[in-house]
Amino acid sequence: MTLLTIDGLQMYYRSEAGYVRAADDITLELERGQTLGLVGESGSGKTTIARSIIRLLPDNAEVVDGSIDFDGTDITELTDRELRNQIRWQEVSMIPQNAMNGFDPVYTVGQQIVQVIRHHEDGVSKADAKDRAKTLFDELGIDPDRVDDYPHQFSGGMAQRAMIALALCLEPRLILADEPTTALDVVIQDRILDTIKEMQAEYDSAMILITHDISVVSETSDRIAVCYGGRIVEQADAATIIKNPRHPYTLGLRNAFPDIGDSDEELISIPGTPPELVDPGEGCRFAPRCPFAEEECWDVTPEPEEYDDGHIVECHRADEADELRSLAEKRETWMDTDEATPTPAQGGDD
Amino acid sequence: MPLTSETEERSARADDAKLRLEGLDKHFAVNQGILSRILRGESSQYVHAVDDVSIEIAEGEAFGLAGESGCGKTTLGKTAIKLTEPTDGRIVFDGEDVTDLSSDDLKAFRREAQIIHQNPYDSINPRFTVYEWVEEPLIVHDIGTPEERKTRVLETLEMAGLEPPEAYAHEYPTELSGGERQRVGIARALVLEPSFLLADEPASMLDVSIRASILEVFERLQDDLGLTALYISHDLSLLKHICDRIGIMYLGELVEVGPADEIIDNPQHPYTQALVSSVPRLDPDVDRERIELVGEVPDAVDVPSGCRFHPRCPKLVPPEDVDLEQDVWRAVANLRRDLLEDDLALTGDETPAPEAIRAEYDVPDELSDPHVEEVLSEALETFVQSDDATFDRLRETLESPCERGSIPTYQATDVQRSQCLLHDPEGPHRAG
Repeated sequence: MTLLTIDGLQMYYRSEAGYVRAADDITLELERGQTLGLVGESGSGKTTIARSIIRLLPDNAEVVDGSIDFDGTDITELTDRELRNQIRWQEVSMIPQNAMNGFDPVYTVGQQIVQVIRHHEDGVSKADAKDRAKTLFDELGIDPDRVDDYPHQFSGGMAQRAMIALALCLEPRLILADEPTTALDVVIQDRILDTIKEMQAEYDSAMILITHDISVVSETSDRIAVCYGGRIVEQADAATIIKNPRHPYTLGLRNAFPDIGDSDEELISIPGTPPELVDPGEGCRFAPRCPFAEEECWDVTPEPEEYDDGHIVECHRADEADELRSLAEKRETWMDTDEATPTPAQGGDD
Repeated sequence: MPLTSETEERSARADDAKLRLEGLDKHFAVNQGILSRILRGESSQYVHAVDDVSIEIAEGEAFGLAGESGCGKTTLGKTAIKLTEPTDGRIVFDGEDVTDLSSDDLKAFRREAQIIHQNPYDSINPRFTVYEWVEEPLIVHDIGTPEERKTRVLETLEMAGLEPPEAYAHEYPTELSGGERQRVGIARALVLEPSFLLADEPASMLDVSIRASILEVFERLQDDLGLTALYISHDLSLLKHICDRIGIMYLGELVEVGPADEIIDNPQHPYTQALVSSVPRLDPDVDRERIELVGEVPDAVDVPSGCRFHPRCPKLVPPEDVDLEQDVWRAVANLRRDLLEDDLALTGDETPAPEAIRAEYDVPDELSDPHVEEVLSEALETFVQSDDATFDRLRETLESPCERGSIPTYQATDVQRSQCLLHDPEGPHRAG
């Protein structure tokens, strides 16, 4: 059953130079209990997409077009007050990247969880709310007595787990996890991801996992959406994105990512820099960096094309994927691009 | 057999060693105040950031140091190039002992050994242009005329991948992207034409695609200039790709060292095995088998005795006469440790029943080894009355060889050395 449908969302930031098209024509669906991985470079729009669901965006953000349907309600139509009282945290909660910044340093962690529970649920006593916080701590592998500790008394991994407790205390139907383990060591990262997965299964919550680490999404997600320049350039089930990608950007990302399971792979970077999102113009936004760009790619914005099993790609040459895939493995392929060397003038200058 | 032959091996290969660390220690005093020592009778405590580490890095080699945060890898790197003074041990660079250099010699050493910092946003002075920033080391070391310096700076910028260099020279750091700033940091390190580079998490702040291009720069520099490099990172996949050898650190000690591929594909030390097993795999068909560790990394002030990893090690060696399944033994050892330290992780009741304690620690109600059962149940009974004799018995009869003395480094395979009793060819119970 579909829980979330984002349809043609255009979330732009107003700036002096004009609209920054941070999330441009985003369309995606999320099933109940499913995990969607959002990957891409910084500035690709992945955080904007996730945050627009609970409207945790700067003041200059504006929904120009499109809708976000959450279980039958169009979130973009809600007032701030309705959104805060009905959706945010109760239905959709968020695990931020740095838990230490997520907590208020002058309250104990327990007080903050109690506050969230009592704000959203009527008639819950402080003691009951605190008991719930303790139970959650226990499930997450933290000593329940530590609810009375202040955030600074926690280690990084522990604080991140406490943040998960805060995000899960109202049993939300959708969790937005924005780089939830990026600041942590691998051993703890692994434990935290495992805990999130367990809790997610227990509450049957769906999750949008944002990360730059493709191996993390590969292990955690059911579906993966690849963001580039404010657009989702490719989305499919996780295995397809990893093994049979069709978009040249996905191919490039894969080349640049060191995989611990691969012995002799050579790392190949994608030349150039991400595009300017103020008035990006027509044409594929990846064309300036794409070794396979043809004339059409520069002039015409590619339409999303669906291949088998919900594999959606925005690329004029996606039909030739098999051929491009083998070319993309070669280093020479990525060296002939027009903008092979970045210039200080911020790359994509026309 | 313990590798006491390390010194011999060293002298045999001494010629091609670029950097040799011998029994390096770096301790930081926690309690330096003389007042608290005199008035409160507190003795000085030390953070054992680096303890007795010996490494040899060959000319032209790329050596990687890995481990969790707080394991001492950054301190080791900084001590190795004398950014901090070692507490004990020797640093030999190009065959010369550089442990106690005079300030003039130290300046000469600095030309040879340079560092690239982790954070390209914090490590460049925002008031310098790229040109000034890269030129500064040349001025400090009084190298060349202004014209010569100019040629050198522009060449170096190009080498670091900032092309065309003239276009970058007069930019301020704020006008550059993260990847470009990191290249500026590289150029500043390279402008003195060093023969040794220390790169501390050189790419961790950068995006994936840019990260790969920075690593390309490093690889090219090593190939073209024959640089020796010490990379420090918590990212094992990255180290596997750019390093010839990898050393794994845990709580200040070097627990395993060997060729990069072997460390990842065939780890020998139980800690390395656990570390490698927690790295997510890209291939969706690979079902990773994850090794669970007990608890978190302990405090570096009060380090565990014997093998520092023993309180968390899934392969903890039981005493010779103990006959239990490994996971049951691990559970018993956890319970024993907390009993002896009076640190039982229990919720609620003030005086819990022995059964409840056992359940909390996943220790079966009746252990298959009658002797262990007797010692443990007695300790659990008297726990309430705190009887010292039974606790002593618990301490002595169930002591793991891993807790005793110092653990030697063994040759675990032809190419890997590991600081773990399991690699003693005569068995882990040979009295340490």
